[in-house]
Amino acid sequence: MRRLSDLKIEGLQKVFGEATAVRDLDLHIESGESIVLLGPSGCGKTTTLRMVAGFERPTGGRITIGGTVVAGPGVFVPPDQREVGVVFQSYALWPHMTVADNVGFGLTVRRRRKTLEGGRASIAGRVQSALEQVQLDGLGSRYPHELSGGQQQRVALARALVTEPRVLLLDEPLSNLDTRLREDMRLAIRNIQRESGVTMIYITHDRIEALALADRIVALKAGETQQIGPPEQLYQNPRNRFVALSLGPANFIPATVQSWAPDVVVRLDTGQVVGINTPPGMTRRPSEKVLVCVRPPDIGIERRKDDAETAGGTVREAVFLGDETHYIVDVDGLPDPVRIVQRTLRPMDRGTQVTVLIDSGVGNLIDEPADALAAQPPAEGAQLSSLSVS
Amino acid sequence: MESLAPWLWVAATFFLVVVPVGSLLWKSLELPESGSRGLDNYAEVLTQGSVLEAIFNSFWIGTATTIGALLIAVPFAFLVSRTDMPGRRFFRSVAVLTFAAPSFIAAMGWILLLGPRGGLLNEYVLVPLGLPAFDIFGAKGIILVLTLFLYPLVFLPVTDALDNMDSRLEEAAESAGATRWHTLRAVTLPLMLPPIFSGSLLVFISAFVIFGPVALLGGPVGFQTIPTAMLELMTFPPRIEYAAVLGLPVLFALGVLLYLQRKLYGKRAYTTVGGKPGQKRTVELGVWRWVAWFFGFVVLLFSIVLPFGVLLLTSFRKAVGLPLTWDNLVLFDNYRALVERPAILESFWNSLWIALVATVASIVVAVLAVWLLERSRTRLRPAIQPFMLAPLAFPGAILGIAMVIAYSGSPYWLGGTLTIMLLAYLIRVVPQSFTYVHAGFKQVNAETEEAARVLGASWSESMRRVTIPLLRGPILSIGVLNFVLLFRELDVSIFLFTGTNNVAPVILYNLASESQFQLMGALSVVMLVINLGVVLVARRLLGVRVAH
Ligand SMILES: Nc1ncnc2c1ncn2[C@@H]1O[C@H](COP(=O)(O)OP(=O)(O)OP(=O)(O)O)[C@@H](O)[C@H]1O
Ligand SMILES: [Mg+2]
Repeated sequence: MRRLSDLKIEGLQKVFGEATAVRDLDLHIESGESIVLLGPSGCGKTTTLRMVAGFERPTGGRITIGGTVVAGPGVFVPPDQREVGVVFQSYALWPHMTVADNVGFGLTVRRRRKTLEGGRASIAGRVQSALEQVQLDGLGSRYPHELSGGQQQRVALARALVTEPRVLLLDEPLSNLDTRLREDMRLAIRNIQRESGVTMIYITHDRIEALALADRIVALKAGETQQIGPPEQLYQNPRNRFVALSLGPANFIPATVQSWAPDVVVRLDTGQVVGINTPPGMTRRPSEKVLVCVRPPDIGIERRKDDAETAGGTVREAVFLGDETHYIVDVDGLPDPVRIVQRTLRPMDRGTQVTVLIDSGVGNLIDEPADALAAQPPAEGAQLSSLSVS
Repeated sequence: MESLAPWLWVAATFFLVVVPVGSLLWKSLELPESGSRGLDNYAEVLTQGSVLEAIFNSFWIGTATTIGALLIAVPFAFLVSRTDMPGRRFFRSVAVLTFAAPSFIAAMGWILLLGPRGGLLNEYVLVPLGLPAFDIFGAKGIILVLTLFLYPLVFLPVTDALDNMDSRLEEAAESAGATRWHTLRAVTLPLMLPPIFSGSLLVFISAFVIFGPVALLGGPVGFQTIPTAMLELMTFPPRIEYAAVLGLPVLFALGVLLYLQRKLYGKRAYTTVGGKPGQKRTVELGVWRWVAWFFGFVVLLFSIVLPFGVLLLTSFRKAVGLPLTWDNLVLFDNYRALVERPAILESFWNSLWIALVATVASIVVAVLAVWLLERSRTRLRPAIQPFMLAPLAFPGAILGIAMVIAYSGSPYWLGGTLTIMLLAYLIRVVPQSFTYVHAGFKQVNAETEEAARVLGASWSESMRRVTIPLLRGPILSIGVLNFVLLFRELDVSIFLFTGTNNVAPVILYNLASESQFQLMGALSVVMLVINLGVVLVARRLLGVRVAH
């Protein structure tokens, strides 16, 4: 008995005084789909979520849940009638109630309103099974301050799920947990979401969480949507540098278009001529300057032989991390050093002369002018350590 | 409910602030002879010799009391916070206790101790020692009683600031070559100035307009200040518009003073004066510590033990005129006499329930106002704090007059009812309820309410099940404070009292003016015991609160 729970956001806008927090957001979320809003601090993620929950009134646009307009011109459905579940970053558990009372709150509200049949016992039963779902059985009589951070997080999740909301909204729910716990909870949330089939919007600025949890990712920057698509698409075919870097380290290599149709072939500034992917709907004329995004693991590196035709370079930094080795290489003809990740057992020393290889098909054209490269500093990770792909 | 909230607040504010102040202003312009309005009343009142004298008296009583309070409070605070004086903690709690006891009851105690005829200290201590008897009636008696009652207003904030001051500031001065005295003058004192200033201002304001002690100690010798002059203008023959005239400048002046105080020091009052607490350095007094202890003991003796002890003693005496011997003491007679007087019993119940209702109502208004201020998007928000704090500028007497003018006649006809008394009590405690609840509310994360809303709770259900339970601590403490204050409220009650709306403090005051000292003693004891009991029981109950 699945209810209609698709979510449609059209032209959504929120202005606080002078500042625009959300600008013209369009998003259609299918029933049961899991969407991650990804973006840096202050880009309007929380504001979007609060408008969906009904804590803020949009200044423009429309939100429709399951075919009912909940916010739009002349319409505003208060949060208590939207049937959404929210997990707050602060958890917002009520310190004066036990865990079971916290979880059962939504049910008692509904029973009071006569929208829920059954007595105390049936509520207790549902609370019990919600606690089991998040592996907290037996802790119902504790108070929130008697739980660990991870357990509090689970209570917040159970509380949001027990009323079977149409949409589940989570605002950076794992940001207060340590790394190990975060991994466990990530899996737990994904499983629960799949099993219950609830439509989910999940906010994070952690790319691993985004990749692991999303059916589709919405990349946001300063209130504006940059790209919407499945994780693989955003990772492999980012539309711009911002999206590329949001999902992991990337190199941006200047190139010149050689031919556009039938296949796109460019000459990289390293001298290599390669075929690359392009975002749909984009065209460039031959001999135009472009930028190509290549992920560090997609670049090959080997000791330079004298007869090499491909680009040469010098290892500036090499860090052996067990599973892989991270290099920063100064490549002839490129303005910025290139990041490379390789599975090698014997890493090359600093100063080694190397050959850098980029295969056809791994690069991806970015919808940004080539001179943008100099204009922007590298957004993520001036240090080598941030190269690690976990 | 949620959309009604701003309107509820507007209605409450209208009746609690706008109507009383507006009526006072309007009335002061009314000219009964000609039936028109004008400024003639002002000219009339402000040229009357007795009125000018009352204004002058208010000023100098206020000033002298402030100086007296400073002389006690500042050294006492330093001794308690920064030295090894014996019994430091005990002396601190004594200062807090002074608040629970009303000043007019203390004044009654002092009449029994230092009254020119039959005052026990005069009769049994001063005269036998060959010293001249002290006459408590008149200005110096008033200043003595007010000083001993009001010094905690300076003592408590200064102690607090000294506790929180980082000794490293002083050490820094010393390591730069300053002497101890120089450090005290150059570093410690300047840091103490904000709490000293705001405390002094409160003492001045309170002394300036306090009614009870002035009426009891000044009345018999014809010494008047503004509030007693106002009461006289209302009773004999009633010139209520003159009383209104007298009230307005006071209201205005106090408003400005309180605003200045909040503006200058209000925010800093609760923050630490530079750095972490706990870095305190104490001065070792050596033998002088016993001198310090004696000083504290004398303050305790004079502010609490003597005035309230004598009331207790008097409640067991057969008659004040008889010599103090065992034969002349009785255990129950005076207390039984209280119960046998229906007016006294009735006044007791009246006081209990209207204090309780006003306490609860003020908390309701405060929660509503604070919620609107902190959570809603209403355009009223900038007005909320000023209006909720405005009653601070109507001290008892002026509030009393304003209430009489606003509500006793048409269209409300509340004169002589308990309702008007209740309304006035409510107004009196709204500012402090607001301040407490506001401070508590700032600790409550808005998300805890949103979590309830999104789970389906309506605004009122989320208030009832989440917000108010989370505010339990501040609500209970301000509730107790309000109740204790209102149960013994005299300054407003005396203006609203007509003989049909008996409340305990007015009955007690009347017993004193009728010189029924044994009954007065007994009733004082009962009232003090009730207040103390409420405080102690509440502390016990508050002790068992859920840790967060
Ligand atoms: N109530 C408000 N009043 C004014 N400006 C606001 C308000 N709430 C948010 N903003 C502004 O809107 C912008 C977006 O804020 P939002 O909280 O949505 O960011 P976010 O993406 O959730 O960031 P974070 O990752 O730090 O939580 C910010 O610039 C913020 O300053
Ligand atoms: Mg946020």
